[in-house]
Amino acid sequence: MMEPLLRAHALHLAFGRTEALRGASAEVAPGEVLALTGPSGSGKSTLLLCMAGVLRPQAGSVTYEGRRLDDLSEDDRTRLRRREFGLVLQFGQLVPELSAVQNVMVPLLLERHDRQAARTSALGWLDRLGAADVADAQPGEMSGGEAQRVAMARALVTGPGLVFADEPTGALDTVSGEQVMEVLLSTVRETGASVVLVTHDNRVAAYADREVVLRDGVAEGRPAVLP
Amino acid sequence: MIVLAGLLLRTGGWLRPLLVAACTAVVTALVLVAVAMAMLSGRPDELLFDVVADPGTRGGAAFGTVLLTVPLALLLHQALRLGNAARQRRLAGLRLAGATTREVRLLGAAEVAAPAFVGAVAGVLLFGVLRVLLGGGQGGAFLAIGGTSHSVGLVPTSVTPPWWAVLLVVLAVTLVGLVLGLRSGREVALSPHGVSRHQRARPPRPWGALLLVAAAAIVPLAVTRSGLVAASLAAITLAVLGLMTLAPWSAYALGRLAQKRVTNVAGLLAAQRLVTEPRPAGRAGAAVGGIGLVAGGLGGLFGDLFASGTLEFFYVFSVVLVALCLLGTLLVVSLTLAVHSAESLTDRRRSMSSLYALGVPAEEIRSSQLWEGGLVAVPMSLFGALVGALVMGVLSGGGIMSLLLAIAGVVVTPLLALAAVWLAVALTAPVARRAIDPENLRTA
Repeated sequence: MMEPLLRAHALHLAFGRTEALRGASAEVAPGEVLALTGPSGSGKSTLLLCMAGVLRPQAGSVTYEGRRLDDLSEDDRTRLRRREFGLVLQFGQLVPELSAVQNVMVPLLLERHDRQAARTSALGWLDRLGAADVADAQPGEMSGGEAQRVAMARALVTGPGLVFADEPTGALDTVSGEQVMEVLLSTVRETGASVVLVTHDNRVAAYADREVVLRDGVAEGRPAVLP
Repeated sequence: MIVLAGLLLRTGGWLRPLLVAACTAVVTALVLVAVAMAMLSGRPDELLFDVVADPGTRGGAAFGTVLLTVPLALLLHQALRLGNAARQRRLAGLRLAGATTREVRLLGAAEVAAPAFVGAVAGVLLFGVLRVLLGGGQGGAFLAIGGTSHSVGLVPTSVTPPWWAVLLVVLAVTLVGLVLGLRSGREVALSPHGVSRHQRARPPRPWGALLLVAAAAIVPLAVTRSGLVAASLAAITLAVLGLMTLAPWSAYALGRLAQKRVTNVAGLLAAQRLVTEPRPAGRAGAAVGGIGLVAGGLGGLFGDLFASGTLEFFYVFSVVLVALCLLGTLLVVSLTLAVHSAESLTDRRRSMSSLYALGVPAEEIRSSQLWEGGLVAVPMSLFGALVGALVMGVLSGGGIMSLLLAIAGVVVTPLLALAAVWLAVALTAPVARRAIDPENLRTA
């Protein structure tokens, strides 16, 4: 059986009285594209944020390459995300005051890369994702598709082994959404990274190798990696 | 990290760092003036105004100079909140890009510390300028009245604070700015998926009243000749601290009261704002309360001087000087309120524009700003002026002229406070116009 890259097992998480996750499990294999789908409020974004180490589950475990994420401190999880994960959210969530290239440079500068080297690398990723034209534009001057490409460049610039994308096309029109998905998947196929994707759009889910459906905080279907 | 901090400083807008630097510059200069006054011993060999030259009153002059930094610290506190929502989104964006909470805190601190330090250093230069303009040496500040030349030099030039004292003041002022900056973001948690507000803080409590009671208890001591200076300074310090800590509760209580009594839309909007966020209006209220306290006392003092026929240059100029300081402070309060209003309107632009879209006139929304400031500033200044007049009445032993001028002080101060609120509303008129733009419904 293929060893999963990341395993989330029996996760429970409640926000006040609302139980977002009630024993949800999911695994992702190296190089695999996994889609988490389900109706609104089913807990798919919460599961993704727990798998990415952004949220800490109240019960259950998240294991990445043999390490328990839920045992790590907040800062250690952040450093792990910075070095080994990429994170793309629905609206890009770029730093509004920084230009596209500066946004992409941020993870590298936090890793104490040389400014010039960081800029060169960031420009390279923007070019690769088809966003070189907006390198010096600020997020407010970009279209939704451009901003999402920049967010992807920021997520990929450190060479992550696993990319988490929460509704990456949710704020885009159909054509832009398809373009963004194609750019993301062709890039991760080249780098060999895995992707965990949250979507409620069947067309986006169709890009995935496997789909886990969530309902009321529980995963249905095939949460585990098949042999 | 340093590169990133520099990048954020350059791209984060200029108004906030400018205000922070301006505040720390003036605070540093004022503290250095007080240090220079404290360094004088005996009667100096330079022509200074008697309040500074006389060893008996010099301590009070230095203390008053330091007190002038209080409203500036309140403005600094408010300025640090300017653009807070955008700043928090920026820092949350950095968390998403992989910055740890500690790194975000450091970057946030650098955003405040850098302008605070630059301002503090500029304050040393400002101190130099004040020495030239208001110095007591040859070619210093003089005022010719009726053929007689009077020295109005306020900044000693025969002594210079040593380098280590200057360094200490610069670092201390920077540190104060840094601490206030770190406090300004504590109500929210920044995570990679956005900004979330911590559970709402409990409403303010009236503990400041205890300090006011303590100040009142000291006043009888101040009347006795032996304890006059020390007890007066202690009473003033306690009264100022009491007003500052009581003011947020007062704003909250006045907001609650207005919620029950006021029937117009502007008043209700203002009352709701005061109840949900009483601290900014409270801070401005504290400052006008302090102004009222001194103005009330000043009215009584001037009346006492008038009645006793001792209207000499020394007394008149002292009163004018304090009055000028009060007006300057009122201007700072006005700026503080303007900064708060601008920030508050920008934060609430979606709800403001929806009110406008629902048919609430723009004028009503603007007058809600006036209500918000006025509901706190007018009663606080009135209260301060009454206390000041009462204390001065006790100290001076009363007299009809003293009473009349104290009443004048009590009447004029709330009007001046209202003028300060009006000025703040006028200054933020362009922000108010943008806040009700229906476009906000789509984009904000």
